[in-house]
Amino acid sequence: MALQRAPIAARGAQRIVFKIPGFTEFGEILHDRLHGILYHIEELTGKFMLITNFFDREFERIARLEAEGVMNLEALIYAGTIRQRQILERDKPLYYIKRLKAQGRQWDKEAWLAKRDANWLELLNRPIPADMEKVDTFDFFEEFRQGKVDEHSIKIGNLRDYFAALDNILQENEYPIVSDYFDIEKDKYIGIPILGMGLFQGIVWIIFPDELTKKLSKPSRIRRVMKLFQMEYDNLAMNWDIKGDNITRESLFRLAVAQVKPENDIQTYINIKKYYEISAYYHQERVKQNDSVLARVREQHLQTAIITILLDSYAHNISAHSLTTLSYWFRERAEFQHEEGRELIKQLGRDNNPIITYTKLFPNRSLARELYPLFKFLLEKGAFWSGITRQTNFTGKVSSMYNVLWYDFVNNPLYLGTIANTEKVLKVHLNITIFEREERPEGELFKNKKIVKKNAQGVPLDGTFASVNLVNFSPIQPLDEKSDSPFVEKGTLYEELSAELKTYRAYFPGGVIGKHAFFTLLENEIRNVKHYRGKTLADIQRNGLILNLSIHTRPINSEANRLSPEPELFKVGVWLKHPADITENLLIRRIQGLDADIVIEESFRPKLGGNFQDKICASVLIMSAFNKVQSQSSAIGKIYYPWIKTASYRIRKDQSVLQEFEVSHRKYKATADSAFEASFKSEAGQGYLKKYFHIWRGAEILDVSNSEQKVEDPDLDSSARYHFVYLAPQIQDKHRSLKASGLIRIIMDAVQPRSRAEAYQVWLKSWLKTKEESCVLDFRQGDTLVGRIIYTPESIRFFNETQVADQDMDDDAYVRYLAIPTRLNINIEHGSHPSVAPDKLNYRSTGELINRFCQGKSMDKLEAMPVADCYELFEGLISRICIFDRRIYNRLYTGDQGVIANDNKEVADKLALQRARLDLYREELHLDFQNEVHDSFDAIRNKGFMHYHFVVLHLSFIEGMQKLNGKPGETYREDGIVEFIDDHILKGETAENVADNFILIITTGRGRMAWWEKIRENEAYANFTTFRPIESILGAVEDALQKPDDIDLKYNLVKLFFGS
Amino acid sequence: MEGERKIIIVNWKWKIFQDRHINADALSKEEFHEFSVDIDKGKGIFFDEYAVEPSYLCPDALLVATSIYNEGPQTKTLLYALIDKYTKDGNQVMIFLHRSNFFEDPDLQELMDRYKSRIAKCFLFAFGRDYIYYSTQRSGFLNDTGGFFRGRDLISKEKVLTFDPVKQQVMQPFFDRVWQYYQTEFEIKILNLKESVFDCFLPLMLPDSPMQFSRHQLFEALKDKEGEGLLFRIKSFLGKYDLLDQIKDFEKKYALEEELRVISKLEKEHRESYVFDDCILNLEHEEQNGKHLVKEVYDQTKEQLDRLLFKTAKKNFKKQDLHQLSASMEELIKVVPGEID
Repeated sequence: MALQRAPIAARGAQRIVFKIPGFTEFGEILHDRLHGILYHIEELTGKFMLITNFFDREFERIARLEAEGVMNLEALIYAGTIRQRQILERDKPLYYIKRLKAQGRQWDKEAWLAKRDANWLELLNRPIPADMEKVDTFDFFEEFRQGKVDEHSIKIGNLRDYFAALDNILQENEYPIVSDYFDIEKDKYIGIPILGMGLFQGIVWIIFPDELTKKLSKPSRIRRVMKLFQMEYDNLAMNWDIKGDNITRESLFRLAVAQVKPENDIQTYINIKKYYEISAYYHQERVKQNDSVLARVREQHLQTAIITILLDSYAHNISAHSLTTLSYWFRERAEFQHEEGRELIKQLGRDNNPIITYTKLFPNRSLARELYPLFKFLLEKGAFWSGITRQTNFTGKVSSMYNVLWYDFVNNPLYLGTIANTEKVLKVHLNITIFEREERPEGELFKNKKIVKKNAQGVPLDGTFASVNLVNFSPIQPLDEKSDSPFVEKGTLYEELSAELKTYRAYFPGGVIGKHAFFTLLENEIRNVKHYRGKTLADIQRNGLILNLSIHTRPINSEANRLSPEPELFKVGVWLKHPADITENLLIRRIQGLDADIVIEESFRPKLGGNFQDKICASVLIMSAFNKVQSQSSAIGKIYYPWIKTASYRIRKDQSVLQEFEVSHRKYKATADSAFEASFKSEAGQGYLKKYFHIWRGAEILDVSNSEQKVEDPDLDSSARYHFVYLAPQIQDKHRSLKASGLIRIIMDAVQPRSRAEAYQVWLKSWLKTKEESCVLDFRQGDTLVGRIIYTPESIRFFNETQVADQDMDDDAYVRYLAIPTRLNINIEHGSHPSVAPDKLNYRSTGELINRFCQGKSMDKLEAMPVADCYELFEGLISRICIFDRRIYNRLYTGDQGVIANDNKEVADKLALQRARLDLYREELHLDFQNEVHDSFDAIRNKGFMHYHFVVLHLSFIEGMQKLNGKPGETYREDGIVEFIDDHILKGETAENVADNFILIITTGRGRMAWWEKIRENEAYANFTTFRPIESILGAVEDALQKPDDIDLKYNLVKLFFGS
Repeated sequence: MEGERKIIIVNWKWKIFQDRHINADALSKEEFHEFSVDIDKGKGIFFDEYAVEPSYLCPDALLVATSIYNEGPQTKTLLYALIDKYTKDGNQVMIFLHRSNFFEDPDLQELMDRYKSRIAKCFLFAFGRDYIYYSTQRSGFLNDTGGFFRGRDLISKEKVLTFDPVKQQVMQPFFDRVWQYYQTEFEIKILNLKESVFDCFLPLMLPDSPMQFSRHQLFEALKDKEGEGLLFRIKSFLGKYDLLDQIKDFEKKYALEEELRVISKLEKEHRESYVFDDCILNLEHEEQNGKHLVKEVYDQTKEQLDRLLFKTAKKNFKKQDLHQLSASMEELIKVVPGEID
């Protein structure tokens, strides 16, 4: 329907705020519904028809116009045309037939339909823009919308007048259709503005026979019809939220309704504000329901996006660069090792790849030392993947930055040395800068100065930590299989930085998951080498790529009134220390890119690229989960989203001052473009482009009640990073929920412990199985007692070798020592001994026993051990572990893997030794590795699993187990985990009665979590049940076996299970 | 000989010198020279003397403790200077070199070539498996960690004090036992080897056994004592582990090193030294000292044993060959200095 008025001047640009995907279909349904309302509620009898001109909100059409650069996007649209025709053509076209009869012709339905097709086609979804020639429908609508006209303008008109001049495309095509069913001379029409979601949404034209004129003249009826139309629009709009692709978008309803302008006459006329007020609950609930569907869909899309983005990182960093390179290097070496192939390789000049060079230099050394870290790295990447699909992170692991960077990152030379091979870079230097602090001048938003820390000897901690060199490597000393890789070189500042980094204990959520999130951030920075060209690239190729890391501590909320005495975070900076042209645009592009959602809103496709990989990984490190990457409104998100700060450092002549330009998303958004430009101006030029992200620091004791008072927002912390969580008596009801979240060392006492030692004293009383008993650990090297730990519920003490001998030579003391009821003999032997003894636990100088607990000395040379360390070592050794997992068991005992001794005595002896070692672990380390054998399981079940502190079960083993009261062959399913626990672990006890010193750990290598959903439903089970990825457990075992250090084996596992 | 002063020099990882272990970098060139020229200046720095509780056997014995690591000519010169100090007329010196201080057979050979009759015996020891340690036979005086054993006996739970910290002297009977054991150690080792070997070969030597036997039968017979590493002990007696070149014979060496690892393991388990490396060198040392017979009989025994098990292409032997070997070993035991004549 079109109203004709004089042409009006063109408007300025108009954007559409709300777009409705599938709006064409929306129009068809709404048309049908409005027709039904008039028929059913208003009881309009006889023939009537609607023409619905709705405000065009079609998503794709608007997007197309936007892409074409059309400024004014607003238009009404001829909507619901298909349904309009169907409704109309249910009846015969009486007036058309009449006209035929008058001409003496018969009605030929097919011919008539074919004739009208052209008219309908012209009208179908035809836009009616504001500037449409000779059509003022939009202006009529606009006057309602602007409040320029009121209900009095809603008047019945004559079709005769409307069709008086057929001079526009609408009328030209409407006339034949309308005239088939209505008497143009007598019949009438009325245009009713339609509101929806509080806004004007178009005009509904009702065309009706003259006899209905009286009925439709009543203002009260028109008012009611307007209300009904508005309600139908709203209902359909809400239904539309979860239709098709809309399911991927948040409901617009709430936002739209909030924009209702009650001062508009028509809105006042139908009292729309009141309506929304009284229907608030209904709308709120509908929106909530719709959004909950959206949330679930969105979560799934987000997860898919995260996987895709990180898969891209794997495909790029690992597969496309590193593995591709290694694949052909090894293939060339394989050829080189055959005489014929060797000549060929030599002739082609391909006999100089690093692997072949290595083989030539060290003919008696395999590449095992270089390969196993690579395999371990790939294994852990597997855990990283399954962590994404699993979503839930069960606490994490506190590791020293030294261990992570030296053992796991640098000592993987085949990977690290090949990431940049495409750019012909085979040498990577890892520089580390330790900042003491950063200083920001008052009122300055972006510029800050960073001060390099000096160690006690006054050496600035800024220099090369280590280098991976696949180019001109050479052995410093003769190599054997156990020597460090010749590809890895300690840097000039290795010793100084090592000492510092060993004291930096960082919390990695999910253990290997957090660690690999960290590594991915570093790997991506290395890949930025691709941006360098010309002389700089040539310099990098010649002298090596410098990956620079900086580390310093920062408070979680630097703007809070009260800061924690111990900064919560490590702020980690990463950059390539090679000059690049730093521009404002470069910084802005990066910060804007990071701000964007990782998912394209309309299509839900992931946004690929290094920035988004960085964003996800940085979010994992601080939010402890993958799916919180877009969590802007969380307490931490409000400060740290999008988790990465971009920064630049301009290279100046005077390099004594490290001034940086550091941009957080929050401050960037709050700054005017001109102010930002002015601030940056002095920083443009040659410099380094940096990124900053944050890692939680491992900490000692979280006082839950105090933390609520201490910081402004207790959510600005991660309880899992603490060694202990302390609950004061008044809040001990939180114990369950904290335990169910995966925390284990929760202590409840009247007095808050002030130190780790005090906390341990309280904690061990509840953790030990033999309550109130004293306990002694004797460490024996050969037959000499080199140390002793005597624990009582009130104290702990380490006795060194001399003190042990003194004690043993004193008859009274010796008698008291003999009276201690619980004792553990730990026979240790340095791992460099030429043979493995069945009764000796190996240790190495690089292991935790020496490095951490004995201050770098062998135990016989140790004078004293700090009380807190003594407690921790005691806890590690005394905690009882039982593991049923064939993958771990097979690593320690090869006899169940098809290695059959038969008559081969040598093999039989070796298997016997392996079994003896397992017995040794069981007896001296309380570490019981079991194969997935039902008889063994039953034996331990009968003894009672509560004997142990940690019981680890492979999920598949549980699933293969015959149900206790089931039919033959009926096994436990993943979702039957609670039944399994009842039958085998609790054996009649209730879950509520399980003590705090028992933890059941389910392990699997896959991302299966149905079992956890069942556990989570019941807090009493979640209280003592948790999860660890098999890769983490295997990693802990493998790290220890490689050294070899049996004390590490136990300590690593205990640390992994406690999460710190 | 009986009237000579008995001195044991133990070059080990002594804890008293734990911050003063002598390696190539521990001293400057000048300091090495200074100490080597005037060894007494090093007393209390890198070596010390401990008196021994007087006994009938050792009324005036001395224990010299030092921690010198074999890291090049300077460290060796220093060690020799220290030994020179004690190898005087009227002294009878036994030297114990810790394997983990990087001493091996050639070093032992060099030492014995240098000192000839001026030293009585020279031994390699390590890993808590030799008699000198208290714990192996509950007789020696060293502990496992760089000091004298002090504490409770592992089995009897009795108090054991091998060194009196007040009197600063090594206690008896520990010193006597060590001296006596090592004086006759080679004899005991060879005797034990002979008994083990002929326990296995006896069935082939009985009157009603065939007059001929094959090499295969010998190896089969030796399997009875596999748990005692008998074959590897024989190879050690024959010097098979000492002759290979590090580079040229890499693969063979690797396999032999594996066997040595087995022996080490057995030594630890059985608390008994099985390896003959220092033993052979000491036998050869006897020759240098003018006792040609010992070397002759050892060579003869070695030749016979080697011929039967490894050396010749011939694979069948006469019963008489075994009797001959038995007689040679018997003779060797008699001529090697010790208690059996």
